[in-house]
Amino acid sequence: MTGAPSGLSRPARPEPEPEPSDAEVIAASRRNPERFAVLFDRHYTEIHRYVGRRLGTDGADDIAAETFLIAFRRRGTFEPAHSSVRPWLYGIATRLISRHRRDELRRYRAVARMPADDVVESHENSVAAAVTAAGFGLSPVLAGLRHGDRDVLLLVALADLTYPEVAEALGIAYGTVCSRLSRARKHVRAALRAAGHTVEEDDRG
Amino acid sequence: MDDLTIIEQMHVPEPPPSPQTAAAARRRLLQEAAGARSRRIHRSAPLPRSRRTMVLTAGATACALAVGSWMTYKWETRPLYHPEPLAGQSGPASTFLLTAADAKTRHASDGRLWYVHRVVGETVVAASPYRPGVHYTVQTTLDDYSVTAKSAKDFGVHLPYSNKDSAGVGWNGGEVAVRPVSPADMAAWKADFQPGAQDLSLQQPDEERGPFRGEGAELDFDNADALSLPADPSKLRAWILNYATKFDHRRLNDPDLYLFTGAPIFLVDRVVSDRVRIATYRMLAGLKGVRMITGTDADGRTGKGVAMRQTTGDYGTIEWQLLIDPETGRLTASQGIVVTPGRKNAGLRPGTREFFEIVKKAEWTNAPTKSLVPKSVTDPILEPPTGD
Repeated sequence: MTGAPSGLSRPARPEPEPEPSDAEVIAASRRNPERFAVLFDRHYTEIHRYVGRRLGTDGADDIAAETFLIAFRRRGTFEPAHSSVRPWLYGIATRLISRHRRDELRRYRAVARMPADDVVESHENSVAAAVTAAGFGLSPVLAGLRHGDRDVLLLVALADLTYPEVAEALGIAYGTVCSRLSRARKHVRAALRAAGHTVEEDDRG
Repeated sequence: MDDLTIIEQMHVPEPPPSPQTAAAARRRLLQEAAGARSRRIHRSAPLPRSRRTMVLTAGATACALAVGSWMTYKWETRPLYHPEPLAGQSGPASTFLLTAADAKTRHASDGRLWYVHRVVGETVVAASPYRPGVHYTVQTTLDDYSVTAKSAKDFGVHLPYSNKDSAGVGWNGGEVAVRPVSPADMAAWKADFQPGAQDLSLQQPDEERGPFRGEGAELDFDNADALSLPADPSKLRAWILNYATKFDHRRLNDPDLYLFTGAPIFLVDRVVSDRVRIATYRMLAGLKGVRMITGTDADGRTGKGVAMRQTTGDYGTIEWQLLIDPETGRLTASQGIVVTPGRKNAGLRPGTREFFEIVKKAEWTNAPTKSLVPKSVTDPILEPPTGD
């Protein structure tokens, strides 16, 4: 049995102070700039992971750091109505990734050229992913997507942003997000079917 | 497994940032913050002495903070570039571009749909699939088409499995074609029994045009923006540069290069009015560092054009060329020629046409949409169900 025996009372613990929202941290950082480090501590690893999955570690080290510098300098433009800075940070990171398009395409091409066996051996913890990449041949498809379509697709698939968040991140209309994602997924699904994969429905977005 | 999960899994997570990397990034941020703080302190007023003065000062400070926040917001979102008279360049390149603008004015038209057919290509060094150590340089090309309307209503076709508000569609034609660039490359390729792109593990050419951009955002504005672009050259210039800097709000080191390499997006790709295309030529005529050239496109056609050079560590020096028909003001080709290779194109010889496109058609039309788009794109029967 757990919990306090009935009839006994414990001194009430003070309620822990709720964590300030991202928007509150930004507001505070206008008077106390160092407060912005709270957002770094909250989101740096996540942004680094997203960039790393698109460009590799070296690119992620530079771009993740640059993302927070730009966000800090531009914190005056953050809309307080948005409580989370995640879409905003992903938007900045995606813009910075766009300056490295060719590197990203080279990565896809390198994966496409890699024999499936090599892929599996080189990523011990990612067998399923490697088999997927090599077996379904998605790398050429992703490399061939229009850049804007790929950005939307990867913000949904890798960053797990909702459609409105993607619109906020990229500064585009909600309808544009829908049409870009729809176009990109059409190509991806066609490639998966051609590779003999049955595409299941999802509930994201 | 659904398609988004497969995509997520194929992007294998890299190792997390090392503690040193994270600490260095955090340190950079804090240094920036400390700089901002010291600027704030320098601006602060000295502390008040009397209580009344303190109350008054507190009120004034609150007002100042509110005004300050508002001013900061306005300052941080202010456009960095304003329309200003274009630099009056003279010389053959400027004259040529103004001639192209006049020709485009004479041939200006309009329609319900903007139809583009271009051949995009790239030059790469391919490894022989059969002979280890043997390489040859080949051009890969792919036909690329798009039809874009000014509105979904004008588009008039609901594409299967697409958003009902779609106002355009793009598609590729056929397979990636491979062509060796020199007689020696041709001989080596033939000795391998003329392998195709798939045999050579070559993907479709990069759709990107223009340089490997070190600065500025991609010009990925939507159709609503495209249709409301200013047709005044100096306003167009300011609009483009403000779009380029809207996310990091830093002035470009080389705005003229950015404008030059982005020009085909306005001249060919996007559904903008011909008045905007004319304004684009006039804007280009005001750029510095543009020179007149006679170039040859990937189909072997020689024509006049303009060029700018860009030097980066990755791609060395590349000359970006726009070939223009001065009679019609039509952009016929754009290409990047290797002047001196860099780290990422070290295998290419100087003079190689590394990135290129040939504009076969870029025109307004009132033809029925379905007559322009292949059935495989519009007919749901020819597509497998998506499971949506």
